[in-house]
Amino acid sequence: MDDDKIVKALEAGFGKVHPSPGLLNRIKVEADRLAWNGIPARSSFWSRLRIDSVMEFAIICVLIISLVGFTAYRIAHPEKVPAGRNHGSTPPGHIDEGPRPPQCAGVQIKPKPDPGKVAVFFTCTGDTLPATPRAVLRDASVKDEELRTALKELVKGPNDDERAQGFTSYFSSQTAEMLNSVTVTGGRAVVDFKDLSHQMNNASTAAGAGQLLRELNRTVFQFDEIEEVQFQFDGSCDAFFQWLQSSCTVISAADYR
Amino acid sequence: MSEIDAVQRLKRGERSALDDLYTTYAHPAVRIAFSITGSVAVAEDAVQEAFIQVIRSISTLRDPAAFRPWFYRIVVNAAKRLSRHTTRTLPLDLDTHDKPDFSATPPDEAAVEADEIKLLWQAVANLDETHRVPLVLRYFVQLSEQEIAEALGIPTGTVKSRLHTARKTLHDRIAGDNEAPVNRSPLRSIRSGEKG
Repeated sequence: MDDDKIVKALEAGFGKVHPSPGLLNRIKVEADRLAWNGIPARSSFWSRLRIDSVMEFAIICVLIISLVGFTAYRIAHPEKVPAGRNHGSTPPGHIDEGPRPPQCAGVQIKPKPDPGKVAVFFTCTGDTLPATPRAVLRDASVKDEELRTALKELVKGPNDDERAQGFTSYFSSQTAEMLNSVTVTGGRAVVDFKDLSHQMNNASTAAGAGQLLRELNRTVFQFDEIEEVQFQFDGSCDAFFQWLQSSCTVISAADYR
Repeated sequence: MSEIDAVQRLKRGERSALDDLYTTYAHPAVRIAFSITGSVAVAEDAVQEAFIQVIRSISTLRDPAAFRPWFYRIVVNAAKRLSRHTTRTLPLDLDTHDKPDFSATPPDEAAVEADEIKLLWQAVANLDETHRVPLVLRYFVQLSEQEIAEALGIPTGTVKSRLHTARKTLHDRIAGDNEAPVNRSPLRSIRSGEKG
């Protein structure tokens, strides 16, 4: 009886839940607009480019001319263009155009950073993926808040000097205020962020998620007293890991030491 | 077979394949999304988003036979994402917005059973999403436990565990609701995991 009644209850409960008649058409319109890339949906060259007005055409021309001019300038004056700058959410490994920067000296933190310092781990531009993040140091003025300080510094991303050295990260000035809280109870840290998904669209790819988690975990597990960590968005571990196409997981220090 | 054919045609970029896949999958997809969002409108947005994602990503699907759990996983993820900032629960009251329809209950169904089914629906609606979604996928969409595992991105053992917990919760809640002051309800004889 059990299974039958569950089925009946679901059928009754969902009885009026049907796709509306216009849903298929909505999907087709949206697909035409967004998804059928590379598949000719329109007859003319201009309609495929979706250039619907003279103004749009003029703007595109200006952008193309600007791009060509900038490229020519970079070729003529390579030394005047800062290399390795990346203040957005571009994935690691994709920013090292121009003269190659000095490669991420980083610091050794074993057995521990000096007192009053915490390590923050970022990815080095030149490293082959999956890259092991390297440490840079930050001041931590209050000992009890070392972990919080480390994470607050991590979410700010590498500073200008570090970026010039080749450090990169999904974290940047855009994510500097995204850390809600850090609590440590009995060896377990709970790190709560605001929803980062809009600041880091590319981080939810498999490679991006791995890189992001390695930076987070290496930063958290530098502290010997932390044995486990749970990351969450606004109190939801599920939300954090669903963003990374996974399910809620408590991460053990053993995997990162 | 026609389903696999439709997937292969979509991989080749044939737009008519979208109609075929929509015919097969739109109903269950909207209901799965509804079980997460509690809103038909948001569920439809999730399904629309899922179909767009399918068109964009179909080239990455190696085995056309694996389309079903792959698609449902996209639906579940889209529904969860869209409902993140608008947390809603499934309607308990039959007269509310997005109301369930119990009018389809066969007229010869015993009143007691009709009550049990209503109670069961309310118990389903009260389940947390972690347990409700596997239940819907198993009993309503008829996915196997393996397919549910693929759709939700969790191990098969976890699916079994969640289904077991969901069934037990339903039984416990119904038994509790039907418990008479002196005599126990006949539903008390229903135990988790037993076949009726």
